[in-house]
Amino acid sequence: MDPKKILLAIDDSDSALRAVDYVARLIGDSPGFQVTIIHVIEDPSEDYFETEEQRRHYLAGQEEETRALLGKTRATLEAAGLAPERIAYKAPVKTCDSMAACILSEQEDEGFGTLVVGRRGLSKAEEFLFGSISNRIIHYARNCTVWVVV
Amino acid sequence: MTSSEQAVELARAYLSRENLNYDVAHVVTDTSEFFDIGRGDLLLLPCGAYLIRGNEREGRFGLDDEVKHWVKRAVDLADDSRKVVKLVFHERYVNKIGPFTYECFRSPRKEARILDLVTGHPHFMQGISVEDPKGNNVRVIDYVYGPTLHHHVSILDLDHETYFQQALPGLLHELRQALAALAFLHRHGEKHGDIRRDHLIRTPDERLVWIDFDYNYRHGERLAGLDLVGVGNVLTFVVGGGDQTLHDLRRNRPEVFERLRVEDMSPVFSNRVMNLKKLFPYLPDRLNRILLHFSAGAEVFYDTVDELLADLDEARPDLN
Repeated sequence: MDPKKILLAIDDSDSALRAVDYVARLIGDSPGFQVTIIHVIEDPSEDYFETEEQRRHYLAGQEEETRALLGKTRATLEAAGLAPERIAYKAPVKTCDSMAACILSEQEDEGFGTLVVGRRGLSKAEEFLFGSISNRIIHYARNCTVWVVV
Repeated sequence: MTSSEQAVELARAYLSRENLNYDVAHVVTDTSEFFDIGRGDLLLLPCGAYLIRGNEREGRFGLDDEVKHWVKRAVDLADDSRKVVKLVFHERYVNKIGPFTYECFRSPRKEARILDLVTGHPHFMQGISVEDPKGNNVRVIDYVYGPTLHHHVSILDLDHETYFQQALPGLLHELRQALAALAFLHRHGEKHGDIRRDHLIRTPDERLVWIDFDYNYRHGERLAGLDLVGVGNVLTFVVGGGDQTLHDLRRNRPEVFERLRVEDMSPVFSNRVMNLKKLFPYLPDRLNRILLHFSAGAEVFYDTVDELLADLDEARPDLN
């Protein structure tokens, strides 16, 4: 796997912003890097909505927020010197068990050599209750390098 | 299908047999306005005719509290069997667990789906779901007779060592079967959603049966996370023969209280002791280690109920 082919997983958290800043500062205008920004849109269980119309409305809102987030991330990377043609987007709607599974599926399918995520620093109890995306990624990632930005 | 007139006749015959001094009120087919459906109403559904006898109550931990207007006590007029009829009620709210919050929602669709999945399973309540003429999902559920697990353990009235020797091995065996049933749900991508010791009914043939699975929650990275927290609570309740809280220990066993550390407690409920061996030294290590996986001192939490079951199977030979 090419380590310069980077998958940068983001959400709207501060830790994701730190991960974006880190990648921007580290890579800057260095040649040979390709960064794909991924933001997985959470699709709550069908049970969450009373009607399919509500679900569509919710997802449309999420997609709009995602576009804004991806645009902001792209701007940060471009400002650091990364050429626009070396930045790509992905915004899959979650269809797997977890965010981590979705991210790892993209990493594996597209052969990204480096995966970058932020870490929110959950308490033990929060991790017990809700799980941690970065921990799952560390645990289950194969054939790539994982950078966890705290 | 029973006609409206036939159903009214059947209902009146039932009321007479049971010496109930009220008459059939309304014949109902559209269940949209569940507040308007009450005692004496006759519910006609594609699956049968049901005489409504009243609303269910929440009844959490043996205390009668709020009326659940969307859940009706009913009688199936085909065979006089007792049913619970659950009507469509969507609600979404932020629930609190310890100091944490999460988004929770009630879903008739989820419960209907699980009822289909667990048809014939001895450790889940049984029932069917149908749609009324307006497309409302109605679940008709067989009433599960028996005390809740909470009630069953609470009335045993044994000192803990006697409880440990006489009651716990059998109870753990029963609980193991119920937990295996829960693992079955998780393997199918479902969760119970509201694991509590009063959502397990102990039937006269000594089976623990899960009831009420219409809750769902946004589960983040751990589908079974909140279910597992509930499992930890149920398990410590059963092993401890009741709740073991700091408050009670400070008052009743101050020498034990003084020896407790933060890591002995639940990471979620800071007043709940998980390291029960500090209270009951005769608990086998292997059993106590399972409880420690639910404690603040745990290095690793259980990711699945199956992992817990494997440990429980290893621990059970240590009990009588």
